[in-house]
Amino acid sequence: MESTAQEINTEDLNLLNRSNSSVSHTSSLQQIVIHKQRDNKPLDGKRILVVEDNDLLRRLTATSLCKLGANVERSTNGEEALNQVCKALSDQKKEGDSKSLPYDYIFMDCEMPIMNGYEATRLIRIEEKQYDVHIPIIALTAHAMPEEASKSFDAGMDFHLTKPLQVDKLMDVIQSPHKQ
Amino acid sequence: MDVIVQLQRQIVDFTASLYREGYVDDQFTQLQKLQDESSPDFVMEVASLFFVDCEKLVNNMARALELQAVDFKQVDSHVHQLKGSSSSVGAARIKNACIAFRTYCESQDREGCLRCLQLVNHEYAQLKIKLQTLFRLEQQIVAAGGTIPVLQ
Repeated sequence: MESTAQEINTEDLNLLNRSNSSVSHTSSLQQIVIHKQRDNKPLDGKRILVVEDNDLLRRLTATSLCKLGANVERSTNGEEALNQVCKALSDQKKEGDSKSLPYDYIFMDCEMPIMNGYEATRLIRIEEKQYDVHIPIIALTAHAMPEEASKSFDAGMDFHLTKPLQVDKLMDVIQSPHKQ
Repeated sequence: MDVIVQLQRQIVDFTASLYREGYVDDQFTQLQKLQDESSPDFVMEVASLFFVDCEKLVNNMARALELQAVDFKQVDSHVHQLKGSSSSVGAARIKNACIAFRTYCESQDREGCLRCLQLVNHEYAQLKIKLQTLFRLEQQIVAAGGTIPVLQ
């Protein structure tokens, strides 16, 4: 487990001092830090792209994710999202950083005008091949029908959630073994 | 102090009735959870946005249904939008009205659509009054120096 440089406040230090664990100080300190991080901002530092044509839904999804600590970018349809991802990938390559992901997650609404989520995902997967990366894409649909789930997986999406976004279901997906 | 307790009781009862009568659902609770010191008027702002959106969509639907040759796909796309917005703010009755509305669009039933449009309009007007009452109560509590009770 990699150690993260975090500012430890007095409260945590007292907790640490009071704990009479037989475990080394370093690992309990890490546990406190990670525990605090998970509590407040489980998406701290994550770059997320929200793709949704409905203004209200887009705003609400973005706000929920920001509250969880994420850096959120937005697109209003599949074509915009595709362009944004392609640009991000090519910009990264120019900077010599072609191996890392431009986004940690893409939240992709499935039903959108101009280009829907399935089509956008298919095209993103094709583009990704050039860079040998795979951005986790979470499908957002109105219903939880099995046909919609299989349609999302066929298009290349990794997960499937129903709208509007529910934080507990979201955290199940984020913390699932697929990711890292 | 007495005034605040009274107001708090009023808000708790009123909010409970909104859920009980199906005006709002759990998604509205999720909205309230997003409100905090950094965004103290979040719910009110979202509600306002929703009502503006709703009015616009209802007008679009009305105009589309007035035409000699109704484009039901167009009407359906407006209803789909409204369904998405209403479900995102927890406006349960409006959302349910939209679900019914879509079936009439699918069967290209103009009369059915017009009835649904009336229902949607009615539910929108009702919800607006209810939420305005809620927000007014909240403002009164804050003005009296109290805090808005959190419904579990």
